[in-house]
Amino acid sequence: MSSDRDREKPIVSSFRNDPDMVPIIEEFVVELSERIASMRRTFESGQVEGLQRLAHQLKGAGSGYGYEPITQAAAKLESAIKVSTGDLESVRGQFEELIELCQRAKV
Amino acid sequence: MTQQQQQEQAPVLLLVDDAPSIHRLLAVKLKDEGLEFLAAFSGTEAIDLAQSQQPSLILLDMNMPEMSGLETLRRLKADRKTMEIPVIILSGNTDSDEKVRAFEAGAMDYVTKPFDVYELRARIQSALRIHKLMHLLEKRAQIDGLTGLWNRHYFNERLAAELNAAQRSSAALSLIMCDLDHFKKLNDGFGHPAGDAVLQTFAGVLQQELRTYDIPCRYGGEEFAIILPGTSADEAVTVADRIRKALDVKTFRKYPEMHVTGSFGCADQPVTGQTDAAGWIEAADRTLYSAKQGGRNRVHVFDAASATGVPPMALVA
Repeated sequence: MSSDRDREKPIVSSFRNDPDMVPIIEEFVVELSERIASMRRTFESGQVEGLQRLAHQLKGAGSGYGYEPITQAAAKLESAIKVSTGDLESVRGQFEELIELCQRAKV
Repeated sequence: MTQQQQQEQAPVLLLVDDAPSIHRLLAVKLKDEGLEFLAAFSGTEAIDLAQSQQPSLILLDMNMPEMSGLETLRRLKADRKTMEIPVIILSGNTDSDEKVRAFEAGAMDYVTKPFDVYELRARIQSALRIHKLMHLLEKRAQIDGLTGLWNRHYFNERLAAELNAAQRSSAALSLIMCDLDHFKKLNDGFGHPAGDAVLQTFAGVLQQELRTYDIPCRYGGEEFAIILPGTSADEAVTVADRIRKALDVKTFRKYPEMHVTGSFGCADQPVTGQTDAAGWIEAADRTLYSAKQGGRNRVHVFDAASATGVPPMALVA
């Protein structure tokens, strides 16, 4: 279990020392806040496919940008949605975990 | 590095993914691979770019809205202009069903997202190498592997040589372009092995019905081209119609319900007024197209007055 202090700790990209990567990581982090907003909207309005798609995209991109935990959490959410039979309430835990990780991402 | 290698153009990689973040990431991760990049954000865009830019390799995301990666792949492989371009699938799914479907649709390789960049680089280089070698091999080879007919490369060389000889001696010289009707439907309905059997059977029909000095070639897919030296349009029509009839009555032991027909376009080079091979092929192709439009399973001949294909007088009478 992560403590409250862990929850506030930023997650940094494992590629932050690669000067070629830094500009696109910055862009990725900026976009993450937009993604969080659109994931929230999608979740609240119960769009199962839309949320699965957003999770799928984050799974594919997260570790590429040096955020392995985001890929892991997105993969968990994606597979939870697949077995959820359409009730997003049942995946709220995985959803909030992914959102929280995304909020903590810094370059 | 030799002079020649240095002058070679950088291979062009077409990346197809609906997510801009993947495009940016790959541009950085692959920047030292000596590639040029093209970007498409949808299947439709990818097909357009593949047709117009002829990239050396396509990296294709499976999971896209509107046209899926699999559908995009199928369309790329169904089009003569793009079928030879190797495609590596990028996918977030690891289930082997999807992999099998991708390979069946003609993918060369498959990489799962999130991708390991070293693995991706290696697979890209390997795909480019294989493609280059296959191209080289095809150029050196003169025989089509499936049908045993002359291949397209040989056709191009031989056509140029025959054209040259005929122009010097003002001899007649005809070309028949031929396409099997509804071949995709046959493939879908009876399966790819049936499709291969059809191509092989048709090659047999050609060998049987043609004269020893005719030159039958597999032009690509289900399209064939036959060079007929010293042959006028009327004679070419007779030959083409003999082939058409022989195919029309063919039965297939393993596929008793299958019936295959072909459409034919004949063009006598001097009649077309085209002095180069490309223009002449184009005229024959147009004639074939008019035979298709006319209802398939028929022979059309190039008509100079209308610059298109028409039903031949010899057969009408």
